[in-house]
Amino acid sequence: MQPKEILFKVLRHEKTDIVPWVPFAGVHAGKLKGYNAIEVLNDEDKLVASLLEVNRLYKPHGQPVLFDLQVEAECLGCELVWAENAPPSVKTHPLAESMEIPCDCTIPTPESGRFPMILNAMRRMKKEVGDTTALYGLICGPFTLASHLRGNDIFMDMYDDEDYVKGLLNYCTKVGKKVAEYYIDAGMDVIAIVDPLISQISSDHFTQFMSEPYTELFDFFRSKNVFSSFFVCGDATRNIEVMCKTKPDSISIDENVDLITAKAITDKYNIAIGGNIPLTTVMLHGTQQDNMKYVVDLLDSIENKQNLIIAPGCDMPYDVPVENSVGVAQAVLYTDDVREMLKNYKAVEEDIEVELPDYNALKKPLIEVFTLDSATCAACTYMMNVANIAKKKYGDAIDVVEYKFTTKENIARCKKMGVPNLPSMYINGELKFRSIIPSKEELEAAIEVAQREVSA
Amino acid sequence: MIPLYLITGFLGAGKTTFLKELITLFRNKRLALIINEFGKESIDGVFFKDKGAALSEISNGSIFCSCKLDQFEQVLKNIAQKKPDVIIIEASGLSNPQNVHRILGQPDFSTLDYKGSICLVDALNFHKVLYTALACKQQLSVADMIIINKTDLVTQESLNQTKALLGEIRPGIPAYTTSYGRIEKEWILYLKSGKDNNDKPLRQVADITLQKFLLDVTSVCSMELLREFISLIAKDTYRIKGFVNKGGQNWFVDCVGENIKITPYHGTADKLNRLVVLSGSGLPTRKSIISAIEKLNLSEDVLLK
Repeated sequence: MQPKEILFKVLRHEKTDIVPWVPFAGVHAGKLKGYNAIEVLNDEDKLVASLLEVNRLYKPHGQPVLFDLQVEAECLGCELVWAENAPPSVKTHPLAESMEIPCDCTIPTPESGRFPMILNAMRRMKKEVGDTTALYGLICGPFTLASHLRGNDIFMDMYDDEDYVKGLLNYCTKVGKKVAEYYIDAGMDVIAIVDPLISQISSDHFTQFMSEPYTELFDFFRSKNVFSSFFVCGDATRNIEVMCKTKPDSISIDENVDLITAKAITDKYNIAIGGNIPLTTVMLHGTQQDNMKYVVDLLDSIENKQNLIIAPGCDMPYDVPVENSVGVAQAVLYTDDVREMLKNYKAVEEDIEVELPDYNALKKPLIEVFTLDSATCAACTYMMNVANIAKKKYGDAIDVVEYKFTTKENIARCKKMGVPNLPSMYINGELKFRSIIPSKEELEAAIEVAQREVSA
Repeated sequence: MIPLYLITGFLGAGKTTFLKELITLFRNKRLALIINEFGKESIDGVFFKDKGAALSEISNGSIFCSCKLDQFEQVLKNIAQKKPDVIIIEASGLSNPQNVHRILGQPDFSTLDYKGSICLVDALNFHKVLYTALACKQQLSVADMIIINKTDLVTQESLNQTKALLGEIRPGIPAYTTSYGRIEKEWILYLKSGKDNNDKPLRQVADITLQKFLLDVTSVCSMELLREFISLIAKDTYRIKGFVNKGGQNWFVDCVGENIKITPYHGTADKLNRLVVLSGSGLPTRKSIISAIEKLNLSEDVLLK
C-alpha cells in the first residue's frame, strides 16, 4: 500500500496498522536545500526542489505544497513584510478605513499574485511524488483572511456590526472556494483550511459567524471528491466541538490543545485529528531523542489510534534541525524499535535563570505579550497589534513588551510565569487575555484599571 | 497589422478629453474605439457617437479584470476581423492593465500591432492618488508614455515635483506635459511598446477598496441644492459623473475630487438624472452621502442605489 493510501484510510475513518505522518514543512523545506523563506515562497524551482527534499528525507504520508496564509491577502492588496526565516506577515489592511464588502470581481484568478507559481509547483509535485504522497493545498481560512483585509477592528465589528462581518466572511468564503478549486484542479488530494484566529474567539462567536461558512466550504470540498482538514493553532480547546460540527474530515491542532482531550471530542464525531508536536520546545530546541520520545509517548498515551495523524503543531520553524524531523519520522514508522532505543533516555532540562519584574513596584502599567512569534503566527500578530495600538494611544504612560517563544530565555520566562497558552497577555503580572484577542476598547478598559491600581 | 493604442490614467486624469484630441490625429482613417467604464452607466461613450468612429463600450468593470476579460477579448476579436485602420482602447480609470501584454500576445490577436500604453496623469491630484489608489501605480507600471495633463492647474514647482516622482517610478519612459489633453503628433510617432517590464510576469493584485455608488436625482431637487449636496460629498469621492436636467436644461456633472464642474450640456444625454460616484481607499463615501442627504433633507430628492 502506498503511504498516501494509509493517510486516505485515516481520512475515511478506517483502521490502519500504522499512524500516518504529515510534516508541515513550509519555509523549513527551504532550509533543506539552503534556500531562505523568501526564495522558497516565490521561486517555483526552489520550492519544488525543497519539497522533494522533504519527501526524500522525512518519508511523509502527506505533505503541504505551500504553507503561507498570506497568499490570498497579497492578491487582494495587503502589503506584506518578508522575512528570510519565516513566512511573510501582513502589514496593511485595505479595508481598515472603510466598511465595504469587496466586489466579487476581485476574487483572485489563477493569474493573480503568486498563484501561477504555486499552481505550477503543485502540478510538478503531483507528477513527481503524487503516486506515493498525499498533497495538501492550504487555503487561508475566511476569518483570518477577513482579519487580514479589515485589521484588528474586525474583533469589535463582531459586536458592533454583525451584518458587515457576515458579509465580509461570505466574500472570504467565496475566495476560499475559488482558491480550493484551483488547487484541486492542480491535483491536491487534501484541502486544508488554515485559520489560526479561530482559537481567539468564543464558541458562541464561532457558531454565530463561522459555522455556516465552514460547513459550506467542507461540503464543497466533499462535492469535489477531495479530503479536507481544519487547521487551527493556539488554544482552540473550547472550539473543537463546534469545529467538528462543520464536518471536516480531519482537524489539526497545536501544542496548546491537549490531544487526548481533543481526540475524545473528535472521536465522538468520527473525525480524524492530527498534531501536536510542540514546534519550539521540542522540534526547534529539543534533541533528536526528545522528538522521538515525544512521538512515542504521544502514541502510547492514545489507546484508540483510529482517526489519528502525527504532525507538527503548525508550520515548522525554519531552523528545525533536520535530524529532529527525521527522528519524528522514525518514531512514527518504527515505533517499537524507537521505544526500545529510548528506554533509558532522560531529557536534560536546561536551567536558565530569568528575573521577573517586581510587579508590586511598577510605576506604570506593564503589558507583557507572550507569543509564539508575532511575525509568523497570525493570532499572535493580531494580539500584538492591539497592544501596539494601545501603546500609540498611551505613549509613555504604559510599557509594552513582547516575549517570543523562539528563544530559550523566553521559554524559561513563560515557564516561570506559568503562561498557560500562547498568545497570552498579562497586565502588571496578571493574566488578562488568554487566547482571546481583546478589542481595542476591552484592552483600554483593562489598562485604565491597571493605571488606578498602580497609582493607588 | 492594425496599430492599437491603449489609453490609461486614473479617474479624472482627462482620458476622454485626451481621446477627443487623439482621434483628430487619425483623420480619414477608419477608427475603432473601445471605451471601458468602471461604473455601469456609460457616460464617455455618448461623446463619440457622432464622430464616425466605430464605438464599442464595455461597462461595469475593468476590461482587464477576470469578470470582463471574456467580453473584452470577444469585442476585440470582432473589431480585428473588420480590419479598421487604427484601434484605440480607453481603459477605465480604475483598471489594472498589467496583463495587457499577455492578452494581446494571444494568437487571436496576431493581426494587431500593439503600439503601447499612454498613461494620463492628473497634475493636480497625482500625489494624492498615487499613494491611495493601487490602480494608479499599476497603470504607470506598464505605461510606454506618460502625459502629465492639467498642468494649467498647478505651479511650476509642483509640476517639477510630479516629473521627478514619475522619473523615479518609471525612469526612461518618455513623459510630456500638457493641458486640456492636447497632444503633438510627434509624441505618438515615437511611441513604442516595451515588452513586459520584468523578466517575470508582474503579480496581479486587485484593489478591493474600489466602490461605486449610483445616485438618482429627482426633478424636485433644485440645482442649488444639488450643487450644495455635491460639494458636501465631493471630498470623499474620486469621481462624480452624470447628466441631470434642471430648469428645462441638461447639465453635465463632472467632478474630480473637490474639483467640481457642472456645465450646460447640449448633446444627447444618456441616463438622465443619474450620477455615478466612484471612490476607494477607505474614503467614507457611503457615510458622507447619507449624512449629506440628511443634512440637506434630500431623502426624497436624492436616492442612493
